[in-house]
Amino acid sequence: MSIKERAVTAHGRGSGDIGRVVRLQGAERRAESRWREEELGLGQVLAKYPDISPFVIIKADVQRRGVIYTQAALGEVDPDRHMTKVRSDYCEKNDLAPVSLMLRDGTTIFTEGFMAGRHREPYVVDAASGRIVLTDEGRVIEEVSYWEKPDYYDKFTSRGTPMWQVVSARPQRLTIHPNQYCDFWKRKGQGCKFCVMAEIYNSTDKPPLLHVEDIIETVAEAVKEPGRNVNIFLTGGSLLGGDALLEEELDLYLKILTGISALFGGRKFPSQLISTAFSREQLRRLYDQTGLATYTADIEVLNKDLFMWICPGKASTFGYDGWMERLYQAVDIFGPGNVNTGIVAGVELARPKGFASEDEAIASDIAEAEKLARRGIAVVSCVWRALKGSVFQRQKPPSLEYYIRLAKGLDNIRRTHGISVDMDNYRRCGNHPDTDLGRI
Amino acid sequence: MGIDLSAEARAAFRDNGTVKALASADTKGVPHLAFKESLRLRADGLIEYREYIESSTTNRNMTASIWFGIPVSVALLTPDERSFLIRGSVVRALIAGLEFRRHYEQVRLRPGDLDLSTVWLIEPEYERENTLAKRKAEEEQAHPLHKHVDRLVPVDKGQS
Ligand code: SF4
Repeated sequence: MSIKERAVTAHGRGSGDIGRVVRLQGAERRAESRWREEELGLGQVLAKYPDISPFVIIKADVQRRGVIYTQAALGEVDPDRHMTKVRSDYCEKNDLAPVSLMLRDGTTIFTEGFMAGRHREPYVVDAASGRIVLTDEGRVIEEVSYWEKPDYYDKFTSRGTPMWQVVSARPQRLTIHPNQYCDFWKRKGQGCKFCVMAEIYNSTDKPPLLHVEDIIETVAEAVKEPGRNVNIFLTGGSLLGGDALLEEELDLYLKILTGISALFGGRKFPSQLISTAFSREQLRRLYDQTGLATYTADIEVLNKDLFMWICPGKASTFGYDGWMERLYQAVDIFGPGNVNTGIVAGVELARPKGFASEDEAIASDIAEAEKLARRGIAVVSCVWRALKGSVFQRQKPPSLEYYIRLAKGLDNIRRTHGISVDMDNYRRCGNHPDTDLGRI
Repeated sequence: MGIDLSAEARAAFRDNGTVKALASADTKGVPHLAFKESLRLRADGLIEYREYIESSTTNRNMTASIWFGIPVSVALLTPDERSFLIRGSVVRALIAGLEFRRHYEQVRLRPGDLDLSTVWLIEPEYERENTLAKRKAEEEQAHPLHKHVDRLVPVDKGQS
């Protein structure tokens, strides 16, 4: 199951309000005091990498460090216009803070509520004269805007379910998480060590599985909005059971995707599924029976030994090579450029078993990504945040420079091998600094 | 630093018969020129244009411009052959939200099943009228030596 959605999350769970800013500012003060001296800061990275989009560098750093909002910034939130609520497999937020941010060039930043990192101070979003700005140590870094709310968000399905709880939204994407729990978390010690899905689920009263009819009805309503959506995206926790391994998960996606496909006359439509790695025969059914256009199975970490340590459930069920093999089979079916795999960039440096240096980690990631690219599969990276509730919650994610070097490397690989960025680009997903670079 | 455009340039934008083109460059400086009928001057003084094709050269160049501060130029040619050049900076890409939607809905009313990728906003920083008669007068004033001498020989009107 995917982590690309989860890697960057920040959480306001349920009852947050503006007062939380004060508490989080308290958290800010607890960040390690010397981190700014130990790694290159934003300005230094911008200067060192003049060929990399400054917007993408800012995005990576904000996702790494998180944001908090001043009262003035929160005063700019219009709950009728801006997205403030979100329910997904990785985040439950129903307060009045903006869900996330957008930069002037259209780059999305995922903040999903308030979050102060453990090791580094977050950025501060402030506002003056109607301008909302990102600041650091009192200096204005860039102008930002808040994500706008889609038309369907405050409507209800005929079963009475609030549509925002069924399908969450990005500025141009509908996001469906049909299974809000994961079977690996039912087996002791099998959940992925960066994952907070079980933590989020256990702290809410949401149902584990969404109703398929609710999903279809919400999507049918959402796609009426002119000029809003360019992608319909599904992911959720692993469902290992059924007549054969993953049949339960496949059946769920087949039902949903068949229903959505019918809305488009049965044609292929801009869409992406991130699932547990299906077998060739399962992938064939998915491709032939639905309008699904692109497919992802996230390997999460590009190293066999670390995969076994960090993703023990996936590793014991499929193996690293087995997961890769299923990706190759997916390319046979969906075609080159329509299959990729996500990594939670930085977890390969986790202590004690991770790489000792960022140089080693990047070299290894790039070599492995090259191997995949030769088979037509791109690697896309997410910025890792050591989230509260995950096994890795006390770990320290890498430097900003690491993220920029990795993004540049992955972008170069895609260009060298002529792999299209379309399926996971800045509009269709927006969660990957490396695919953002593919805009030019 | 942004400037206010002249009344003449503003009028050229308003004239439906004006031909409008946008020049942009990639990160290596390779120039690209394209006619853009949607170029329009907004009430706030910014120039906007609608990009219909996501992967077009102009769209990529505009992205490079906003990322790396590469200037772009707009050229206007009115029906009475006055021409204007405006150079500026790309300051915003609208790709989602209410304002984008308004543009999108207008685009969808046009024939041809067009999509809309981006509405780009350009801040004018420099303007020059390039109408030939005006440029010729300026040239003669500023660079009197820039001429072929045969032009200075009086023409004998009696010769045939
Ligand atoms: S534990 Fe399950 S939901 Fe979490 S990242 Fe691993 S496979 Fe995905």
